Amino acid sequence: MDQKTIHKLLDNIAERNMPDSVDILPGLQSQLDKPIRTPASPLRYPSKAAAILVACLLFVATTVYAIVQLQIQDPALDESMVTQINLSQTIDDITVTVDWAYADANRIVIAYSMSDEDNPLDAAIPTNQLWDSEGHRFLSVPVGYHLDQPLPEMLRGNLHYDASIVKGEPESLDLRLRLRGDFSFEFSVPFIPGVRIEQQPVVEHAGLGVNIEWAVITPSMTRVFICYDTPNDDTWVPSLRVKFDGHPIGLEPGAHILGMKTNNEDANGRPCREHFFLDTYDQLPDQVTFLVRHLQTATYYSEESMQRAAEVLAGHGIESEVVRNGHLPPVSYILSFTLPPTIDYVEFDRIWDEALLAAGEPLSGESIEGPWEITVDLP
Amino acid sequence: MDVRQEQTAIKKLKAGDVRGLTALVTAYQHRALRTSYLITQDRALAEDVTQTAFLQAFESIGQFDASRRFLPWFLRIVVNMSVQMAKRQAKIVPLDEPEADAEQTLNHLLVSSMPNPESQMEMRQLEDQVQRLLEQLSPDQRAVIVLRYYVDLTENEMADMLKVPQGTVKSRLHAARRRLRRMLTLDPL
Repeated sequence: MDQKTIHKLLDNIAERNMPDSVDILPGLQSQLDKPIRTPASPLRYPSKAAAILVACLLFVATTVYAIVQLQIQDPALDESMVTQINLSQTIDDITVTVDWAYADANRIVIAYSMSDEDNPLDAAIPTNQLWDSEGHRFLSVPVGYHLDQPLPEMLRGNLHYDASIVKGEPESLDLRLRLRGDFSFEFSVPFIPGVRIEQQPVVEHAGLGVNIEWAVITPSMTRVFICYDTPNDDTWVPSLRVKFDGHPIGLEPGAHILGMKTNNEDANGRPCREHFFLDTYDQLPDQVTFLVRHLQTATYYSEESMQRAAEVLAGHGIESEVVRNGHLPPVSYILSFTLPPTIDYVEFDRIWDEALLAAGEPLSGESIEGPWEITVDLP
Repeated sequence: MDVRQEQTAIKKLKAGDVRGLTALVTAYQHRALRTSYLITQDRALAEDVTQTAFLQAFESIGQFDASRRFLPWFLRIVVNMSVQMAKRQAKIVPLDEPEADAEQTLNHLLVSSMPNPESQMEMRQLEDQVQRLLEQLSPDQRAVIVLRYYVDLTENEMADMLKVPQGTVKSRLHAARRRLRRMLTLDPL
């Protein structure tokens, strides 16, 4: 047998077990704790994950771990929505517990806690895989990584998976989770179906068309796939708002996440981007509105611009700090802050627009003002 | 991905633009995943390894000589990580298939007298048998087989990639071939 044939044999074996459909990009992106330089949130938070971590650490500073209390740490979930699992395993003095889980047509969320006295930080983002009972693997969905540290040797976090591969509307999902390669758990969680909005007609403004390819609304997330014209070949991103019966959703810090896959295109070669809005509702709205406020390219601000924005925030009682955006060029700055509980997110949205106005011209970046608006009546 | 596209991606990555990493992942993830799978023989582990290897590449891209191609440098990370992880995994989940099972397979895989498969069915049968054989090798032995016959490296390049003397590569290859032959010769086609 010649070397070429042996190569072909190995290639076939590898391809059969690792088909082209396997894509590690979503999981990889969810692990990158460095802020992604996309224009959707150029300066609001230094890093969504980091902002959430800070918030969590502040929260747990007053929490005694021994108290049995579910820690949700998700802007769209509360204790009444999740299913307690409480499965633990101990291997080599490391104990991992699956605390609770939640599943709907958009995402599966699994909360775990882990004790690793030797080196807890190594366990901060454990390798993880999730399958259903038929062996279909759920990929990670990049909707943030919620992490806290209730004790020095204890870590707790939430894992998020894309549930769009679930067929039909099963009552529950039988799941198999593997964490850190060694720990394996099997459990069931109730499944909540979603409302799907199919492709909507294109709306035009400023000579550019925008349309919703699809959207799925569930109690834990609204997921939108939006396609749009751009004036040139630069990377443009729509600044998207979603409103339920006229009320904007997903305004909480870290609750609006831009999908990181940048090479999506529709049938006409137009760019498309996915948006995730982590927000819930008491009952499904009658109408949902998709509002593109503007299209923009990556925007970077100077330290002076951010100082001016910080002064506006301070005028509204929001203390902030101007910090360097990453450690590598281009040199730009962002604001880091925690929103006081007295200010709601709708109010903050208005304050933020004011701060951006005060920031003035960015160092780089373009913007085309909207609006492009699409309203859909739900059944 | 051609050289120009790769250099653009590397340049972005070195400047901290994660879109550079996205381009490299899109271009090379399947080559990396398949190389890792052949060494680890575990799909989930190979995905973990490849994901972690890309993160490591991202963190250490400053050390990468941009005048060279990315893939050989990156595959070195993937191969070394795959061997380490496969060894670790093997301690936790012992391979319980007895060696004797693998000895009921084909003959003379790695010798020139072994004819090439003539039909698709024959090729598929061979694939199944080779896969079972690979499972019987140690991660180190799988790595040398994969580097020699899948990544198509010379023994010199393999020694450089695995950071071991060329003599060690020769002896590992020899041991892997010998073991495969020993398993194959008991039940020829």
